[in-house]
Amino acid sequence: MHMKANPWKISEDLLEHLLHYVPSQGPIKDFIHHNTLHAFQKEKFDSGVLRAARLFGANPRLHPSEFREFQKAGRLSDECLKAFGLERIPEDPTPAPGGWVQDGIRVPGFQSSGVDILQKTRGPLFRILANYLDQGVAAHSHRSFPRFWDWLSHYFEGKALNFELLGHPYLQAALKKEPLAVIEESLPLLLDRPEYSARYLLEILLGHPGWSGLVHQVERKPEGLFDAKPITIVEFLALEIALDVAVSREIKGFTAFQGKGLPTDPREIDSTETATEKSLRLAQEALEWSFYLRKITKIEANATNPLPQRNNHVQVFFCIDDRECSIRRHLERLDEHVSTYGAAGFFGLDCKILEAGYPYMVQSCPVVLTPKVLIEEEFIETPEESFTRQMPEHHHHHLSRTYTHPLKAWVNSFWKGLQLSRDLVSQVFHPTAQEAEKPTRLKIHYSGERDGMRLGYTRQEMADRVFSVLRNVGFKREFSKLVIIMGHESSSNNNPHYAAYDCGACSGRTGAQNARAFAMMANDPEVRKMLIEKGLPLPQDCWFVGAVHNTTRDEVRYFDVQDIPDHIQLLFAPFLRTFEKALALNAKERTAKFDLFSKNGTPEQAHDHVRLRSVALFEPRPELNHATNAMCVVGRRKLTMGQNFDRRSFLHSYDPSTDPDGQVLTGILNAVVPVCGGINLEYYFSRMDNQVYGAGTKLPHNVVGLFGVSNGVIGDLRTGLPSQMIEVHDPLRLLIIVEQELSTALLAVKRNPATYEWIQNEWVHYACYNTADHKVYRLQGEEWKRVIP
Amino acid sequence: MIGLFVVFLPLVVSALLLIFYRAPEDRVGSWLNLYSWLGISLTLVLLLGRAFGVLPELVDEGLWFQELGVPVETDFLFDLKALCLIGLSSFLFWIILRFARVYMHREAGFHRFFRTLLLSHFGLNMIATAGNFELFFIGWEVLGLSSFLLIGFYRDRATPVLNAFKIYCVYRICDIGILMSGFVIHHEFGLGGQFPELSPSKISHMVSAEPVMAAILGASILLAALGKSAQFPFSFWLPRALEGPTPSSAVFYGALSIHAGVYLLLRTQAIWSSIPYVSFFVFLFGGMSVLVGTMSGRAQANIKGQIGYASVAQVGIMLMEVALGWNDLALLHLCTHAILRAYQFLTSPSIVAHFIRHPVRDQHQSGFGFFRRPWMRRLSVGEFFIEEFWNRVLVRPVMSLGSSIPLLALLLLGLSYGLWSLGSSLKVYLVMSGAFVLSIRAISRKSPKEAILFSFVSMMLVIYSGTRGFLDPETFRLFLWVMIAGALLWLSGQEKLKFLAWLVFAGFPISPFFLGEELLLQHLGDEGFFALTLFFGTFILNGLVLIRSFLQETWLAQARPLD
Repeated sequence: MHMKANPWKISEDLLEHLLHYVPSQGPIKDFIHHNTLHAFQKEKFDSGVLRAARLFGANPRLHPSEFREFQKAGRLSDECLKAFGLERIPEDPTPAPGGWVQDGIRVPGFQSSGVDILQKTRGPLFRILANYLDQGVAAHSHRSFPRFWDWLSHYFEGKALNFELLGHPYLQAALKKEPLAVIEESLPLLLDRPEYSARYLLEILLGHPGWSGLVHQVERKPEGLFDAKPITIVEFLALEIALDVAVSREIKGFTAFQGKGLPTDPREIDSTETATEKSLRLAQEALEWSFYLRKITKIEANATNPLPQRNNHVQVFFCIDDRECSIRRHLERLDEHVSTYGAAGFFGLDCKILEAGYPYMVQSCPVVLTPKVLIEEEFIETPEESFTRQMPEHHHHHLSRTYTHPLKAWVNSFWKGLQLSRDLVSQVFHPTAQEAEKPTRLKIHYSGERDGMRLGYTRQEMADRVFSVLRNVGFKREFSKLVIIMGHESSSNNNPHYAAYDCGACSGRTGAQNARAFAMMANDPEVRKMLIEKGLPLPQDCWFVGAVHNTTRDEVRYFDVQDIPDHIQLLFAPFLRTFEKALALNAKERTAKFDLFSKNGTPEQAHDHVRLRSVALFEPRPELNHATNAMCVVGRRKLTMGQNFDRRSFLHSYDPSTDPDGQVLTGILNAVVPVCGGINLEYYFSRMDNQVYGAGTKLPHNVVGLFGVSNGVIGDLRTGLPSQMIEVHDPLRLLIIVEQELSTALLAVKRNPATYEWIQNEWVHYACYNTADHKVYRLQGEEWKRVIP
Repeated sequence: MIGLFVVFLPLVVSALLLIFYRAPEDRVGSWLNLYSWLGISLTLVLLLGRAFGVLPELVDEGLWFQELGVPVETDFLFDLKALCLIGLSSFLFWIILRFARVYMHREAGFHRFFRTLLLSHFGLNMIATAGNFELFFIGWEVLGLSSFLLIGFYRDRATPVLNAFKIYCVYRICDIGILMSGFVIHHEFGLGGQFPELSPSKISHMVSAEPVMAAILGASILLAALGKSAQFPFSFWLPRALEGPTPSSAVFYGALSIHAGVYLLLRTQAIWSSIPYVSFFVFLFGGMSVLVGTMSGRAQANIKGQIGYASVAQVGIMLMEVALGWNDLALLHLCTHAILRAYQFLTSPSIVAHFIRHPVRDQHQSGFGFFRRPWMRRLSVGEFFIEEFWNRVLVRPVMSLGSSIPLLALLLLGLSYGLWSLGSSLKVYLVMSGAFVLSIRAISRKSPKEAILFSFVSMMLVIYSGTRGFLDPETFRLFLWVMIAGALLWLSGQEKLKFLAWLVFAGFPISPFFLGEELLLQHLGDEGFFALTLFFGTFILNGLVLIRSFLQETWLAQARPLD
């Protein structure tokens, strides 16, 4: 007999679809910027934003009053408003929609029986999840189990305790079955019709998006937790849905929830906009173009202004990062013999890096790549004492678990309390950080395999990588004697979000080792020979120096300085002095945005101030990071040189004359669009609704399990950026301006559908500085339009 | 005098911040800087002055104020205990103000944070130096109020507000202990107000004379201490309280407020040590707290919860020390431990950066197999299910009882009162019971308006029954006016005025109601224990009804549900 298919069956595809809607932020140590609304990227930006707002219960746009403030401050021009057909900014405020969780089946359903399901279950649920996944906060840790489900069975061994919500007989029975079966059996007990299964599961997931996202990420990338804790989203859902049933059993006269005709899939959400929403969309576009036009005017002006010919004595490669925008300007202004270039800060090295003194290896290239090569750093002399560099250490953390032991804490508290009273005074009045740097070396040459990773590159691979980076920036003829490869990093104290401040192209790590390795490769005589074969003859006396710019402290570390030949030293010494001055000027420019620094301070005072910020325990804003980022220029430095872009632009060097068919440009855009677009949209949405898309203020944050932060002790994990990182950010989509012929520019971007999707759906704006007529055009649909409205 | 200056300076600055609530942040910052230096310098002068015997130990400024026949004496004690606590809190506030000045930069509610923080500093100073129960209670309530305000500092989210309410409930129940102790000492024992006068010999004399009252006294002090210090069986509130900005968590739950219970026991040791079994119970609850705090703390996978529970365990040890009479050790333990935990809280966000560099992967298990049993593990992770316990034995029964009391029963109660001519004392009981039942009904009402109506009626009944025959009509009229004024404030719809109205009705020590309560208490004492229970029950419930309605109508109405 033919069996009728179970209508409550949950398919893999369905789960996969639902999981698009949970945040894709992994453990906080690997903070990687990405588009917060990645689930909606397949559709147009404007409809995606509205749909997401209605799903998550977020504000889709800025409040009208904020637009009025922009208008008052002159950042939203009346011409642009008019050009977009908006007479005035709407008066009435738009309350954020309720979202699926609040206006759905589950929460209101339980509410009608007087149960606040979110408040009731989050405590027990988050506590055992955190306890299981914990990476080292709790003093009692668990031995590992092959599955979360097995651990749960072990955890609930024996008789359930009184008062234990999780000890409910339904849940205990469920643990004896397979998780997927538990979901399929529990749904009919809660819902009257199977159509709403998907919606119900999504409401569960979005009831605590932070935890759902973390579990999903751990399932996808178990190596993200260095202490492996296997868990799947199915197990997590099964536990929670069984808990829902357990709660429903305690309600007298409980009847299954009715769907009441609500949409069953987020794709069914109505995205038609109201009149107010339309006005706000236009206001947003006007705000974006008010800014873009000011900058485009500068770029077009540069094209017609002849720039003085520069003698390239020193060339410096920076990361494309918007924070390097200003230091390049200061450096060029101070010394006309210095030229600067921008390239993605991993410098083409698709590798993982094991830093000396670090317990585990980290990916040091964009997150879209899967590196197979490991580069190790090792101490030249093995030091006994612990290695500390930029991050100040708090010795008491070694003892933090000891302090939970009643007797040890009792004994310790007497002398430790006295000692720490002294530390409190010094940390508050004279914040300092220990800095003890040991000489290290980098093992870049191929030396076998280990744990499925290849150790080091072969010479041929090195030559390929050096060649592709130098080709990308159009670096063919004009070599200097001294080339500095400058990665970047940051340093902050008392900051769980520290990884969000480092180099985005290095997956939120320091770019130091990449820069250092690149310079070593480029200096290798064998590699030089291979480069000549590839048609890139580097002069004999040209020398590369790896360095890293600390964007918080405005300090630079140079690597392998002892290897620099003497004749290059003559160039290097004056360059160091110039760079020191540029760093101070850069610090001064940055402090203009810090209220706590006097506007009349000298560059040296500003430099001291930013150094203080990087070590102070009490500083929630060590630096402003990518805040205010708004555009990205891919082209020759000529377009932007001498103009103040106010640290708002990513700058990638590219010479259209060396790339007639746009192949190089395609390669650049493949990296630039997802990395810069991801950074930009994470800031955009965190600013748009800091409670839903962002992490809220970081001041009450509490570190959970070393993998996340929550508000208080049993809050959901917070994803996105804290308010301190986005408060000065104007939410503008990224405008990418490439220097090319119009047709080539279009061809280049359409080669990769994944890249083109961002542009086609308007998640970033794409414009072209036409080399034919020196004007900027904007891509609309598939047509180029002049940008001036 | 300099001592009083040290005590009251934070209150003055807090009031200034309230008045100049629109002052720009940098100006407030420089005031705070000035204040932090002034505060620490004055404290040093005070400490030196006392050390060299220049300043007196007891400052008695005579009668502070007397209203409705209730005298509040200004007795300030600057003995070793007080100086230790004053020194400790001045030091920590000096640090925290510097810290928070930058930490709170640009935060919405910057002024509010500092004025509340300074209010709590004043509360602590009052607790430290209070020479009698009235002043101690004032300090105690000020500390509780500022604690409530800082837990609910982020009013745009629902969880902090709900947690602040939960903790306020615990405080309100436990704080009755202080009021009760003062009442027993003064009214039942007829002893003088100043702490130094309460010698063990006097107390033991009274203990043998009135053993029941003595037991109540002992239980009251213990209740107040356990509640304020988050000891077993109230330890569940501590992790719920860690919702405010990190510096406020450091001050309250790491460093100062959590030790207030220990300080109460130290201060009143002469009293409770003369009552049989109290020391034993102090030791017992201390020991239980060590167990609960340690096991819960070691299972916490979040850093603030871990530090919080670890503090609970250490405070438990302090209680044991105090019970054994090792007072100096307990005092030293208190001071050093406060600094340790403050430091741990302040640096808690850096734990990610630290452990990522230095992972510790040892399976750090407790020594005994007993602690590794699955059910013990569950007990630890579930924080011993203390919150669930209270929900089941107290919250849910009261709520379901309230919703099942028919209004008809109350009407019958009223009718019986009117129809039968009963003795005066019996009538008082009847009205008090009616009021109490009304309060229970009020707390179970979901609608704020209805709840307020019931609680108002019950308050009127309490006042009416309490004052019958004791108060002159003039005083009764005064009460009426206060109630009307309060009601008008509430109805104004303004959040701040409403809050003020709540303070008035909840019997916060600044309001005439507080004095009224003292007065009622004194008269009700004659009616016996049952009347007292009814009175306190009504008092607790009405305060809770009002604050819950306040929160529902103001903060929670604007808060976003998801966080």
